[in-house]
Amino acid sequence: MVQKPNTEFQAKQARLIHSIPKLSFGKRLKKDLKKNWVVYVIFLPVLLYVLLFNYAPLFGLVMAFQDFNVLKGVFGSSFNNFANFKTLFFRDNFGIVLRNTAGMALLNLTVGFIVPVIFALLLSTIRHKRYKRVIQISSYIPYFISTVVVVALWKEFLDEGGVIANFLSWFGFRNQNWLANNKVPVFWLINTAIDIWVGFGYGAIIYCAAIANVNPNLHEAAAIDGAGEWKRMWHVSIPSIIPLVVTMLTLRIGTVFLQGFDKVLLLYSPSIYSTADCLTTYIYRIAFAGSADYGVSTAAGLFQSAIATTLLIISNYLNRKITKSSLF
Amino acid sequence: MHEILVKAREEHYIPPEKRSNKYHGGMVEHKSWLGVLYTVILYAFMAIIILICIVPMWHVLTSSLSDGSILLFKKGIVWWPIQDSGAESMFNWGGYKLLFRNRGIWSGFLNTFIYVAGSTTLGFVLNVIGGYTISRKSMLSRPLALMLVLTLMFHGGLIPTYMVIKALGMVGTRWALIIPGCTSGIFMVIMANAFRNVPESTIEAAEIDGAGHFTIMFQVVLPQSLSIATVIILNTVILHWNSWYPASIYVPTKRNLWPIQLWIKEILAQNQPSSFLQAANPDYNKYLLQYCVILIASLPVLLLFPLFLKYIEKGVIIGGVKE
Amino acid sequence: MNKFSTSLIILLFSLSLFVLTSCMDEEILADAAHTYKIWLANSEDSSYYSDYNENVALKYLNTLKFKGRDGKLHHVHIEVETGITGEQEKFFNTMTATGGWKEYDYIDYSFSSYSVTELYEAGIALDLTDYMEEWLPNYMNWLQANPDYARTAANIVNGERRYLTLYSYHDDVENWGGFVYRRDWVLKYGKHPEGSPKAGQPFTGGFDENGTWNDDITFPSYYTELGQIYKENIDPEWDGTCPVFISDWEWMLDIFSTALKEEGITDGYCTTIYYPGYIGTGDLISSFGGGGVMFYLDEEANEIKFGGTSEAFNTYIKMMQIWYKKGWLDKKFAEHTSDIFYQVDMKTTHSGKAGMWYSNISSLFNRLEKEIAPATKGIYVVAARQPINDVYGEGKVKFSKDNIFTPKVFYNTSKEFSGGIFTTAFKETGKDIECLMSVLNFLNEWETEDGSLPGYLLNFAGLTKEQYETVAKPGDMYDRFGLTEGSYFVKEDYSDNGIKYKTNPIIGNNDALRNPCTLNRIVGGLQGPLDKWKGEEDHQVQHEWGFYINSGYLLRSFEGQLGSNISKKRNSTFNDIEEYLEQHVPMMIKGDDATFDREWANIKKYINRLEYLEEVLEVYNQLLNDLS
Repeated sequence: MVQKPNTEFQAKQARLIHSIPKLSFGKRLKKDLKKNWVVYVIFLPVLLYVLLFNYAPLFGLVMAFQDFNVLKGVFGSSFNNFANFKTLFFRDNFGIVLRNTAGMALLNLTVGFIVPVIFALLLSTIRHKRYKRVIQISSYIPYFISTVVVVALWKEFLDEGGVIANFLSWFGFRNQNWLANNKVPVFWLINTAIDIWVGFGYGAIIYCAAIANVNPNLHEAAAIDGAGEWKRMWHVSIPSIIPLVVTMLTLRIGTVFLQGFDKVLLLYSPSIYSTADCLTTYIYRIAFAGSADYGVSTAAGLFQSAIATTLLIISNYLNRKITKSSLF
Repeated sequence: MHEILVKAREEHYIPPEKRSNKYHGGMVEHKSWLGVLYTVILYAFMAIIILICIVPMWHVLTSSLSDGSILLFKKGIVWWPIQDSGAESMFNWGGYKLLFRNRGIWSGFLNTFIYVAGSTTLGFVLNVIGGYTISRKSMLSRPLALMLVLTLMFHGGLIPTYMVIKALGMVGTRWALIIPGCTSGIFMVIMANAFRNVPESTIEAAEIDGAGHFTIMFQVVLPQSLSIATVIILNTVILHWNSWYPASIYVPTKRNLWPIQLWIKEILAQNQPSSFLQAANPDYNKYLLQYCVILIASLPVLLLFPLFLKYIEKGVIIGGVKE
Repeated sequence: MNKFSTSLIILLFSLSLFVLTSCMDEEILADAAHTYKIWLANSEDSSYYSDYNENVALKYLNTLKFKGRDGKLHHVHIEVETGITGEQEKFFNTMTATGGWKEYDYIDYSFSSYSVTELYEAGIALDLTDYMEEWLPNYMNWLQANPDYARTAANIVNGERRYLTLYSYHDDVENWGGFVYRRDWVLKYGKHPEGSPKAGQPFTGGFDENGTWNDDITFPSYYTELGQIYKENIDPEWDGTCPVFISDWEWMLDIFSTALKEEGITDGYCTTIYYPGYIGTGDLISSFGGGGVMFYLDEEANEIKFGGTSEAFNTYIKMMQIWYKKGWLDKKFAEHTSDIFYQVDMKTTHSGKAGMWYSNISSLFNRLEKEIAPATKGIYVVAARQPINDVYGEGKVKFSKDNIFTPKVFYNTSKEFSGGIFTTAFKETGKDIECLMSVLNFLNEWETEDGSLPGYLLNFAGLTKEQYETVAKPGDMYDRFGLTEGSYFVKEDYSDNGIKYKTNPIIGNNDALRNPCTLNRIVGGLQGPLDKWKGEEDHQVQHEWGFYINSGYLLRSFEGQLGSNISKKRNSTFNDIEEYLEQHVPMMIKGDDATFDREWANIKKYINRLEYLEEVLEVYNQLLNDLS
């Protein structure tokens, strides 16, 4: 298993051994700057980029609290405090929307997340080079079909008499239009299934890279010990990529509320609003159908960002506790 | 320092094509019937996966060559281009002809190439710098990482971003499509993760040898993380290949600066069934455009894939530097 | 790797050569004060030309002279920038928010989220009131001749009427969509109705050797008392050969269900409807004497009303419920959620498996026949006018001797199209804005005294051969599509239909060519009479679809006068109502009577709880009063 450098622990140990008192924050900072100032200077372009293009536009977040009028601009529009948030949240169906979003996000983070990883691992056990290459390239292809066509295809398959509906009827389900079924997990499963189908090949690339990146000596050692493909995958590949997997999961937990629901807009219909309506589509209907209300849409974005950040911080903390490494 | 790398490479380099063979020739390998069963099931399962991935793209290909008026009411997968009886040939090239009659497509390809090349290069440099800084054991690395990750969470929105770009004087120029958005916090974090995997000893050895930070970045740490770096490049390339939104905001009226995806978006939007069916004798080839467009837009990238795969699988060049 | 990069460089080089050589140099005749920049919302399809400045008609316009501020004639040079389809609103908002509008002298504001009044108050739109008489007389003349449109052409600013925008008026507007039905099925499976001299006998007719259709179909209402009342009061020319009442429609639906059975079609239906169960603009709903589901103008009462809770709407849904029960209505109508209301479920209608539906002209007559779709064999689809309810309900919703009404609120193409505003940018740039107004005035020229070609032809018809030859360039659009003889001709003898100008037959066959040949995209011009090679059948279609006047429609010039504040409230009310109705009306249609009543009560309760409904109605009616 690759050891992650654990600065703090080692430093603590070192201090215990050598009885060096811990320096104050200011002193440590000065020491650090002295040692690493070159690195920080090199970082400046990145800092400039991030400040200019990511942080500077954040002044626009005030729009969430404004009755934003395009003609008056950000600086001329009047403030309406929390009225935009009120428009968003205090409606009958907001609770259902949250529930649906949570359900779909959960599936996304469990099933939807693990499939590409498993696929990459399985792929690594295939010895036949050509076959592996064919599988890989085929698996990327769904990613390139535009969402509109993907949705159109799936709508047909899920319709009564379509491929998937027929397939499911062998298992005892009634042959029906699955996209008109508003029982709870049906739409969520469909959404996740489409997500997986579209993204598993592409999402597996990074894990394939990590698996390929593993120190071949480890593989060699395991082979000498008598391990076949499967055992090697289990005992060498998996542990090696766990840090990456956890990093990606942490990132995904943070961003799941922000993206990934565009196809719901194309898939859903009023008869299944009770299970299919999620934050993105809900916000779309309020802020964009009709003419764009930037105040409300910024408020919605702010709300989503707040949730996402909270989740990110929590998952990063758990990450650190469990694997001793973290995003930040 | 160069000598260290060369020596390590000579001693421990195993070319990728030969690696698995070495394991086969290994000393003790149990070939149990369970292993064989696993292999058979796996290969069969993968065959199914290939099928469900390729069939839809095949459907898109055959649809793009079919007769549009029939495609309108055809249900199910199109296994072979469908033509009306009385059609001269098996393939209907009308959709493609319609697509390429738009002269903007060619300048679109060129522009996209410029934007992809520019953005990826610039972004890659920034990624390496950012990832390196965060991967170091220093006090500020964690706050900086947090700062980078937060950029993913909060967005100012269309108008504030436009105002910033306008203040920088980039609106209406190519720079607005190359510089903003060339990289993202995610990439730097992933890069940092890969850099942390490089053993401390290698870096220390290089430092002792007098390597500066740039040398370490590009000649020590990066080559060790080539796979991940390639993945990031691939992601950036595809992101910019598919992007049309920045162009629609910063250069909407300058059609000679449009990337290919924006042309495609406009062509599709202009040829919706809801509009072209309003004519008495509609040109049903317009219905094929949505399929032709997918192939044109994705083919170049799909063709580049094997190239990227090669780099991804090359993996670690230097092996076996013990801790 | 090296080979790869070399080939890539070569490819790049050749591509760049190609791109560079396709740039052309233009000679500009006008001086700086007469060079204008216009922003239009829509461009032409890029298969005609990728840049609107390549429009041949525009090039011709740039060779003409127009009267300027100093009274002399000047050359103008108009440069056009166009919006990206689907992204116009974003562009407009960004442009107004960041001052980018100052680059333009004339802007198509159809995608503005803010009313013209607000654009004027923000200092962007120019007040044209003082310029109208001197610089835009042709526009004023048309308004005087059409008071219905003149009423809303001006905006109320601080209690005064001001002209802030130029609208495009299409005097000769065409309907491209409406209800259609399969007349061949009526012929084949119907019988002469009661009251007809040949009652009980099958119909005769069909296609003759030339492919023309003839039949002796008459509809049952013709022989009833109500039919005669209709003929007396509404359409004296009606001879019973086209359906007029709901009872005619139901008679047809019955025939269609026989047809479906006989033809062996199991996945078809008699008729379908837009997925919410209704068409919001009032089609079929106003057949019950009311209006649409939203706000509409009740002309007689001169009041703006809300139709969502009206009895007309309720009776309409009742009719739909009964149609659903009888199996006439597509059982899966609520699932076609990605289809737009005039193209519902094309997979069924275009393969000939539906009897009646709302469509556009591409489905008419024999156009759908295809060998690969056996159900379309012998198909003949014909347009039908909005029906009038003579079956359901009582009182004001049902046609009777004491209650004679016609549908007045439905989707119909209005004569008024999007407008343009002049910007105040000229005050800083010093341009001769009056000259640009002369250009727009020229595009509104209806007739000339000296017999020369009126300006509207440049806007609507294109260029004659002589005009084209002054700007012809090989490879331009006219050349590529074979229009070198001009896009229209002047007729020597126009006694046949009184229209002096006829389009080139090439355009007659492919109407999509017309717009790219003309300056039609420049908003603010006029469309006048033009002979477009329409045949008998096409005239019949326009006659049916345009038979009733859509007087209840709230013109854009009217809606556009609401301030953005009230607009937002109206939009959110709209969206809320739509969202609620979308879910509950289908329940009413698919359910039994108890569900029907319960859901209707729910709808009423929900709508009455909406915050802004009263307020919006009040504002609407206030505005209506101010403008009258």
